[in-house]
Amino acid sequence: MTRKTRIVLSDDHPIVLAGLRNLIEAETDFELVGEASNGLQALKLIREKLPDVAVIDISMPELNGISVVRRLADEAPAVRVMILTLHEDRAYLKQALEAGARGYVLKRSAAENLIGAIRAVMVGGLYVDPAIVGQVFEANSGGGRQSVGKAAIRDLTERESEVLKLIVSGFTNKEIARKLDVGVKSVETYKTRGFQKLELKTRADLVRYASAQGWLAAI
Amino acid sequence: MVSLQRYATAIHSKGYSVRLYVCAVVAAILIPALLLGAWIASISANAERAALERNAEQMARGITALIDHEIANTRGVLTALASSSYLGTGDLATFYRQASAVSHQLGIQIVLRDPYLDQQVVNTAVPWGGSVLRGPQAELRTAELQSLRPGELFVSNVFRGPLIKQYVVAVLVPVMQGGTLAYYLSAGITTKKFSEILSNTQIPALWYVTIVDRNDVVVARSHRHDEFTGTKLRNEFASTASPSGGVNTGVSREGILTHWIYRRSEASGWFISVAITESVLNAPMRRAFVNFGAAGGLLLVVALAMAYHWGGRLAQSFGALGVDRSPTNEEFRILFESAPNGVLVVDNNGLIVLLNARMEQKFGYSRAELVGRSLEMLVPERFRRGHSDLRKAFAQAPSTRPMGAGRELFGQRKDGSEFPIEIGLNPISTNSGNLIMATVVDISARKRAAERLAGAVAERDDLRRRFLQAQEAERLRLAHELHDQTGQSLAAVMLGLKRMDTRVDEAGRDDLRVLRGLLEQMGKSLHHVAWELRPASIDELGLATALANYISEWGAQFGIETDFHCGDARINDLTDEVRTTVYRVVQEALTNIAKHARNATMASVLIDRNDGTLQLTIEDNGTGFEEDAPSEPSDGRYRGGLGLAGMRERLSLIGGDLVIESSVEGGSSIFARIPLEKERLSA
Repeated sequence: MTRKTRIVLSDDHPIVLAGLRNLIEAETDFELVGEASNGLQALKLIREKLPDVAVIDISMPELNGISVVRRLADEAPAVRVMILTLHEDRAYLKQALEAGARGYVLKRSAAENLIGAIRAVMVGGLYVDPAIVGQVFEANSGGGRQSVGKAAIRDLTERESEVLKLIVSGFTNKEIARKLDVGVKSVETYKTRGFQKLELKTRADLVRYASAQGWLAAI
Repeated sequence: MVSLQRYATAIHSKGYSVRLYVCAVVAAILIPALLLGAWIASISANAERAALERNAEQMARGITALIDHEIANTRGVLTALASSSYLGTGDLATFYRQASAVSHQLGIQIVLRDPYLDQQVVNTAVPWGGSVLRGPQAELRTAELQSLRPGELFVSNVFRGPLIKQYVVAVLVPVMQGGTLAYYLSAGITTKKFSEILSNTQIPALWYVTIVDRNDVVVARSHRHDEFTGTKLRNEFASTASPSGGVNTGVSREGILTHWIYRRSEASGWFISVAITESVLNAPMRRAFVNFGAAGGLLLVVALAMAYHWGGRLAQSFGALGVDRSPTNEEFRILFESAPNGVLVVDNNGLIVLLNARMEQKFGYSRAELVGRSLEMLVPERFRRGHSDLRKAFAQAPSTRPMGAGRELFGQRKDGSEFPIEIGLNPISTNSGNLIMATVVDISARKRAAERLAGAVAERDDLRRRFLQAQEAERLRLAHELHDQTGQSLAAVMLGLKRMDTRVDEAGRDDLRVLRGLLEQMGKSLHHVAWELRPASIDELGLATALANYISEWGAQFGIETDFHCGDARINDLTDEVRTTVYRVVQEALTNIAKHARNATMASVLIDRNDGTLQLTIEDNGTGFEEDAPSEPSDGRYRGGLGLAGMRERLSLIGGDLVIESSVEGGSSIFARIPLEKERLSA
């Protein structure tokens, strides 16, 4: 018969921990090998027991869950670490995945999904709670814009270049108009043309572009 | 300077004051009237004088007639005696008796002279047979010769009668016998006789009547006759006087300036002169001028005084009627003295020329202590040197302006204490040189009020900041409570319910699943509420991460493409207050875009740091608004305290500000700037 899946639980909330314990113990092929109630304790326990799966909370005293994941990725890469958390922010998910977590389960769906998630991770998968997985896809499609234009600065006229540099410095159109002694409408025109030439859409684009071109240092 | 000159010109063109104007009008009416009156008075005085002169002439004429009458009478008597038969018979003794009777009767001396014997043959002044005189008097001989010529005068000039020892004149009649001259019959009349004629005439005081013979010898005089009779006038008169009479002016024998009117007696060739002293003649004129001068002068003075008095009232009435006018001197004085501010006039050397009561009161000096002294005595010791240089510079290029713009000015009282003041300078050009008028305002009260206000504003800002901090803390606490405590409990309950699955039948398990579903919805809601209140990620993951998360969620919710760039690597070093503000401003701006920016397909948030200023730029490409629209800040998308005003307030509490640029086709941009001081960076 197959070996039981060895699991470590870590949560600072005793009732939640008890609930989880019951959940795990209800599964005959799962074996709970240890429990911790803070980050440092969890780190020590996991290094000692080297379980198949470690289910840890993010918000814990002493050391937060993300940091525990990051440390374990170095010190015990064989342990499949899963995050069980109240945080639904994509930012946490992103950080957890970057730190090396293999699963991200929301506490509010733990009762339904945790067992399934542990099994999925055990067969080599990556589990993300369905409640936030939509966000991940949207973020992936919208983020990481490849907006830095391919056109070069030399395509800009001197005025367009001046206007764009001043925009990078954070000046308003009115302030730029005053500095260059031209009308506000002209500033808007130079800005629009400059953006079009550099294939930029937003100020943020422009700043990234300027940074890449070394404009910021020149100002 | 320019306005002062214009004002001076206005004074000149309008007249000095209504009061003087009224006085001038009254004078212009009265003075010609008084001159006319004077002219009429002088005419009447002249008429009076002319009447006096006429009276004098009539008197001269009357006296002349009396003298002529006396002489004619005497001549008649002599002519009658000359035809006496005793003369024809040569009975001279009888003739003597006859003549003697006439002589006694008329009071005259009758003399009969034989020119051939050249001796008197009859003389009533001596008894018959007495010694007789040989040869006649010079005057008598001239008269004798004259009397022979028909139509000539038959009266002698004055001579002294040798026998009677009196001044006499003689009336002569030649006695002819058989066509040849036999004797000269003459009647001697003493000058007393003429004096009596004058005495019998009514002669007013200070009038002098003199009868002068053809040799300028006085025959008779109304005053001091005995002294003057027989004496010669000092000036030639008879030879120069007009025979028909006339008028002359000269100094009398008494040494009085007189005016005389004379007539010539036809019978004697003598002149009768009526002299009136100039003082009498001029009396009417003098009286007229004295009376008129007194009355006219009084009238003029009273009229001008009344004009001046009522003119002043009139000036006030004009003001009440809304007529523009120059202030009266009195009003000027009141304005100057009771001005609420100190007024000081200083000459080009900085010496005090003039000051008002308020100056004395403010500085504690009396007027006498300040006038003529240097202005610098009112300046605190430490400013004096600089002040004197500045004053010289001002005198070089005077202009109307506040003094010491941008600097705090102080005045020093007599007791050495200082107080803050404000000074306005006005250069004045006068006839006596250039002056500077300084208006001094005591701003102690204003400064105290400003300090109180600044204190109150600082206190209010502090309260607001603490309010926002308390609000944030409360939100954080609530979010934590809901998220961690309640969320954990919910999770525990759900796990507990799950565990019950094994203990119930299939139907029970369905019920439990439904309950767990409800609890999951509840947890989701709780999470959202907590996240909106305050995402724990700001503190746990950092501002940039929390913002990136918030912005992308916001974009997903509203279907707007978002772009976020944070160029400030040290953003998490900012104080909690700044981080919270940045987060809330972004939240508010994005909420505004979602609510108001129509057709927005793109929003970008940019955080950068330049020269110690954190710059937060949030822009969209939706339909903006015209910035020039009059109701820009309150209209459209940034309405209300929860929008733009809320952002402004949060920013102002940490010294930041907010600028919005928008155009209908180009979208809108919000520029928030937060100055970062050292103390705003946490450790």
